[in-house]
Amino acid sequence: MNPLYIFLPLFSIILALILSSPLTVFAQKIDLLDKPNYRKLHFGRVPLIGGIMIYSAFVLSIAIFFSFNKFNQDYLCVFLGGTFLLITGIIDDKFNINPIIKLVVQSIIAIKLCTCGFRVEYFFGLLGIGYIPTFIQYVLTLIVFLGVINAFNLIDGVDGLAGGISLICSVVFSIIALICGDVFVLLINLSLAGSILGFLRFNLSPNKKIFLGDSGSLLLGYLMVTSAILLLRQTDLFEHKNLFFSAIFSVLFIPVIDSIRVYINRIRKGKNPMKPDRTHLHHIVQVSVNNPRQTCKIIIGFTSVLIAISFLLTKIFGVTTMVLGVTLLFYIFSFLFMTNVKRKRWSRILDEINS
Amino acid sequence: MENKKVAIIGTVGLPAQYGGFETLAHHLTDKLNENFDFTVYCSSKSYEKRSRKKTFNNSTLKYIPFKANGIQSIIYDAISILHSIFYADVLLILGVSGAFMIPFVKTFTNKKIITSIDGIEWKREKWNIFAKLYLFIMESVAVKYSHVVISDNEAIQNYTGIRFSVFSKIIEYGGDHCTQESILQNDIEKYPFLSGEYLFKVARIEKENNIAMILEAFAKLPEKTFVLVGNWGNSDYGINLKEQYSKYPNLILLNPIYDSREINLLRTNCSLYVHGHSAGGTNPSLVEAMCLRLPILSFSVSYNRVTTESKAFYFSTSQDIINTIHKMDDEMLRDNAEEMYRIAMKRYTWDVVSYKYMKLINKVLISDKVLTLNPRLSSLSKRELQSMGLSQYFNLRLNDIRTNNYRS
Repeated sequence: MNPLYIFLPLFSIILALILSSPLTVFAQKIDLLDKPNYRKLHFGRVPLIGGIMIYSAFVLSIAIFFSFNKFNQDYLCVFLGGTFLLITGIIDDKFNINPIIKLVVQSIIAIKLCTCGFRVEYFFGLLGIGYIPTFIQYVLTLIVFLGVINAFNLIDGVDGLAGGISLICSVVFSIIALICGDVFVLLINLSLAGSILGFLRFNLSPNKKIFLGDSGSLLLGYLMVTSAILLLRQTDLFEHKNLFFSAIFSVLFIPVIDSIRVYINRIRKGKNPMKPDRTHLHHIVQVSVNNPRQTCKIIIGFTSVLIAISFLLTKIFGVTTMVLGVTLLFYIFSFLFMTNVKRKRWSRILDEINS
Repeated sequence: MENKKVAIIGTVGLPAQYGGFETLAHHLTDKLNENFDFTVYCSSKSYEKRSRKKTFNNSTLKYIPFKANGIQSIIYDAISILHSIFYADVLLILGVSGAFMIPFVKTFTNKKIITSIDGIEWKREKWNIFAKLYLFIMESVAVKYSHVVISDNEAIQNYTGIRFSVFSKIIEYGGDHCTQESILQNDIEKYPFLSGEYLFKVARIEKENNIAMILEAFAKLPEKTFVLVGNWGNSDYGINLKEQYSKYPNLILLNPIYDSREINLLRTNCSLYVHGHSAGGTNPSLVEAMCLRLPILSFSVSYNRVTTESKAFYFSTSQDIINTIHKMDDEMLRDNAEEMYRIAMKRYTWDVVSYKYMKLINKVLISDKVLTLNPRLSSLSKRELQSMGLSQYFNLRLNDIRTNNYRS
């Protein structure tokens, strides 16, 4: 490994910190600001420049440290896709574009990546399935791609949450990439980890707050799912591929399963599954602890616990049991918080009835 | 014909040493033992081996080696329920700790299940968040799966109606087991305030019983002697309050009294009974005070208003207490005491309560159509609701559907 890699995250942090001021001025100039509404927990107008900051710091640090020429053409698709998605996100932050358009852009990028060979090709013994046919690879990759990107978009509801989970992802992906010797994924994730840390410095600050915006959350989701797909392809060749799979699966698990839970609940109640509400995991935890910072800590702590448990379950029982186990744990976790939301609501209603 | 077998589950046991459910079990087994064969589950942790009886009030006692309260009550109730399905026709489950068993019993046996959900237990301050969540979940399981749900108060009947669309049956507690006690010479030596006029309250020292509010008021009424019996040493809240208010000469803060004659003596001879409970449902201590023909000054919450038929004196703040006491004269107190006693004799005697339980058990035994006993309000038409005097639910239901506010 090139010893310069160690400096990559540090360099990204510094770049992110330097970029914050000019980007904030830029955001105010073009009115790229988040305004409070009933679903949001913040007050005041906050610059939506997290995505631009992370992307600039991440791309610049890689560009300055290493020449892009080192990577083959296919890998450049990844950066190009990220750029398109970032621009789509910025336009969405500014003008609120139709979700269908966003979905179309994401799908085009996903299909392009598939044609470059970045696909989910192997099922890691889940439900006893190994290699899968090419057509299903395309469909599955598209579903995973769209699912993860939008899941990251949806968990971005509490300061530090999307950033924190992305940070865990990039650290875990860096470790796996290091073991597998995948330089491209390693560089992306080391640099990304630094940029996210730089972003979190502001995102968690009470005075100089900035938000990811749709641009940032879509970008992070995109880079995470792309790294995951690239790594899944690599780990396929290793003896302990199931353990790699469990790590990749579990770091992305909470955003994805929570989105699925929310969609199912909305459909069950006869509501439009795409219509926003306050039933995401961070909303229901927030009702219980009444502190956004605490909410973020609880969900990130739970993610870390799930990663450890999924590792153990895979090692002892295999992939299928791991998937069932972490899904059950998530169900119990969300059920308890959801029940507490109901309990508080009924407590309030009873007080009203009794007063 | 052989009597039907009824298992009483969820009490500490008999003979009754403790609270409301045990007293209820005592009086049911006393008054209905010719109608039903009762088995009462008792906690062997609460009865020393030599004091354990095999029968009491012609009822069989079964001992379970777990505590009937706290976290052990879950396993205590579960074992009791499991044991009872081998012989009982009706399971009378008092409290919801073991309610997770009810769906299984209902699905796999033909036993009839009557559950008394007590008050809104999950709302009480004394439980930690996990206990509150557990009780909240178990309450919904119990209400959804029992053949009949008993609530002890109209306010709780409204709650089960609004939340679950289940029409629970109200059966209150009795209070006429408390006897009037006259003052003897040695009583005055032990409690010198008995020779004068005093106001009285007995309660667990918990925030939900508004102890601080009441003490704050009486600290400003130095001419009134106020006696409060409670478990002061059990919490920081109690210790701090006792330290803060012990310096007032008119406030007499006594530790718990377990002798029933003594506690009845102090209650019987007070000039006004102060009731500060804000949670739960029909409170046994309030019902007992009413049966003892005492004038009542009660915290203004719907449970207490319903129990006293809105005919007691009420307060919401400490200033209300001061104002009400300044306004009161002997005639008002006397009239209030008579009114409370009249209500108590009509509603809160064990004869009335036992009769209601007997009717309910007989009804559940003969009814195949459980829904006639436990109808989902949403399945009833406006006319049916009106005929049952429940038309308020029709508007609520429409409102709920619109706002999606009240459904769980």
